[in-house]
Amino acid sequence: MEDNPRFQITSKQSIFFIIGSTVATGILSLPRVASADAGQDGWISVILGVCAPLISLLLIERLGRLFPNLTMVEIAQLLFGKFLGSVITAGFIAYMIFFQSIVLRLIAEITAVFALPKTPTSVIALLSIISVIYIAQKGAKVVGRLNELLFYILLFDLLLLLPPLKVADYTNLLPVGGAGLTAIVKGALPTAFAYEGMEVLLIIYPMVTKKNEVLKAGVTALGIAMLIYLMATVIALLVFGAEILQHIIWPTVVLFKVVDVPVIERLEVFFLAFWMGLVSRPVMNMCFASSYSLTRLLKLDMEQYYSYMVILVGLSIYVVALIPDNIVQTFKFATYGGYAFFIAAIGYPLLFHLAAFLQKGKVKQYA
Amino acid sequence: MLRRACAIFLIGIGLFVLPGCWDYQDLDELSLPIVGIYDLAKPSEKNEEKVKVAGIFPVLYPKTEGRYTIVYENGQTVGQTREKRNYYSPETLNVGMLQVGIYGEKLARKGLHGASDILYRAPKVKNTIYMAVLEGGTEALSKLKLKDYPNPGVYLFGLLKTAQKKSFLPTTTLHLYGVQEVTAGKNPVIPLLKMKSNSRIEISGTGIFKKDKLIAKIDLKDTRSLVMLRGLEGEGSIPFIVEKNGEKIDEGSVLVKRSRKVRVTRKGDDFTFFITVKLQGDVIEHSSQKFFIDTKNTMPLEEIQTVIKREIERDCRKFTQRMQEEFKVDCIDVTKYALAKWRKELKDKVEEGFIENVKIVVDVEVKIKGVGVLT
Repeated sequence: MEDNPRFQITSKQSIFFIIGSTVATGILSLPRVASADAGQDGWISVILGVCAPLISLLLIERLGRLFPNLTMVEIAQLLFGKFLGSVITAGFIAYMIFFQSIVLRLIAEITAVFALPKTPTSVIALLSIISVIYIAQKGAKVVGRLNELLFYILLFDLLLLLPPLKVADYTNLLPVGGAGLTAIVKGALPTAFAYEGMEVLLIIYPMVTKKNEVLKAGVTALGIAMLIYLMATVIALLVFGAEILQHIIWPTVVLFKVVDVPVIERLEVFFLAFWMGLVSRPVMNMCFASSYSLTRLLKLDMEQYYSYMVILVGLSIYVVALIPDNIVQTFKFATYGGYAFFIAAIGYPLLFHLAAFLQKGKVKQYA
Repeated sequence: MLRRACAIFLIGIGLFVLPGCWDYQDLDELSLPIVGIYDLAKPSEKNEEKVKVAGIFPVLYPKTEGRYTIVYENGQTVGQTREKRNYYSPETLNVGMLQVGIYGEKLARKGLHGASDILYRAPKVKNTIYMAVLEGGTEALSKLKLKDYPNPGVYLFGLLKTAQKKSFLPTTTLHLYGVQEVTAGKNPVIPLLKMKSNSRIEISGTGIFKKDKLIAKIDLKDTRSLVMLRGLEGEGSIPFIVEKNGEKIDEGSVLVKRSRKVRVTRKGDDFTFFITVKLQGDVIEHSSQKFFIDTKNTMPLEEIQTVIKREIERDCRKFTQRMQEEFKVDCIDVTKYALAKWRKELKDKVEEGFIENVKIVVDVEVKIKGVGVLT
């Protein structure tokens, strides 16, 4: 277990940590993605999509049980040797930076489209990353607490999804299962990308004080994330129908434009005002996780150098976020990130398990 | 010390950019149309200008002669008309306050997709904009003078917003139009406006659309049937005449709430839609001296219910026949019930040759609950 109290979290905080890492910008485009192949059964694809992160959770939790007090860096170096282990860890850190740069870029794009069209996306991204760096520097405890606080605000924000039900048409969901099993399973693959962020458990596992509660916490977190995604997808399908969803980039935000709310007028701006704070959670969580891992990898003193690593990682996320030229390229990058998710969330733990299996002696030493 | 200096420097940048230097705009610099008017431009020699766009702009400056302006501009596209407007208008156009979209009949017949795309695509424009088609040309709107309203936009907004709720008229928003234009088996219906005089504009019927093209106009009588068959909920007043042995024994009106229920059955490729229109409400007036509530000399409510049921059923059946024989599009939004059961099989078949070959059975249920405060 991590000895530094600044980097210790409870199992309850780990739930919000995982939710905070997964529920972000994906929810805004998820109804479109889920219904692309599965049509009216896109909501079933959302349920099936949870299988991938669930597998990841099981693999990571089992791995954590084999090496309960070791960080991911230490596990990699133990199983693969110092050099190869470091390369593997560096690859994971690079993946986290890449993934978060996409999230940061999407935050900036969505803010630019709906709220600040003339403000450069680089400025919006800079504002977001400054707050991310500031929070991540405080350590896991503060990040965990903030995730919990922001989760309750998220619940309030999700209540705003209910007014559009005024124009819902239940026939848009029928017939249930009519799209066919193949289409539904095909729709589950891109839907699984929405659960990207689950792999942060690889980093935070040693920080959790009660390890025996990690599995339960992970399942709870995934269940809550799935329910949130399901709610957004079902409501979007009810209001729009599968066909027109393919014409809308962010259907969850456009949902707020279909009803008139007196005084507020533009409900989507009201929603986004809260969402902009919530959606930087995965960037914050992953920035913390990458900085922590990088500090460990370089064998630097945590107290002295961790804050500087956060700044370095944060700036890296920011620079990579500015690479895509436009929204189309950003979505392309997001697709690559989605495929990388499978490698990071399932490939990495599997690889570690395989190495552990082949080196049973080392495992026994640390069990 | 260094860390604190870095934090202060970074926060300073944040504060500097926070006030929204790029997006800040004074209200005085904005031009906020509340009605957008879209029509086909008259053919010109250059043949480049295809659309004519206008807006009803409330004047925000106090103590000016006019309280609103209507400015027309021609262009190749709607976007180009906005660009051309900037050549003479000092204010920046902001379409975030649009409440109503009026489309000329000619443009509606050609297709609304181009003119509605710019509104649907704009993040600032709300999807609850009310849509209407103006019969004839839209230039007549510039002559409209309504002395009891600050500008015609306020009047049109109120008229279209409440139409469906308080009468047998449809209301179509940009959202509903967008969904019905794109979704298989659905077609929009948009209320028609007509300028009766320079001081009066009213809803004159409904435009039947095949996706984005206006294909037919129906009058108010058929609009009543359409609204009931389409399941557009609201309330409205229906007159009745009760006759016995050729003699009129009562005449009056009922105010009813409407709803519908649809069931679909199938035998092979033969589909039958059972539409039940439900009308529930109160008698609001009647001419007979008979009482509704009394043991002697009563006017049975059942007779009024029967008369209304007969009349509405006749009108609805006539309308469905016209829909199948003349319009050949589903304007009563029933195809979705068939898709709800056999979507995969029917999805590619419902746009052509479907609604005209189904059987539609209409039944009307009338329930009069009250008679006001008089017996």
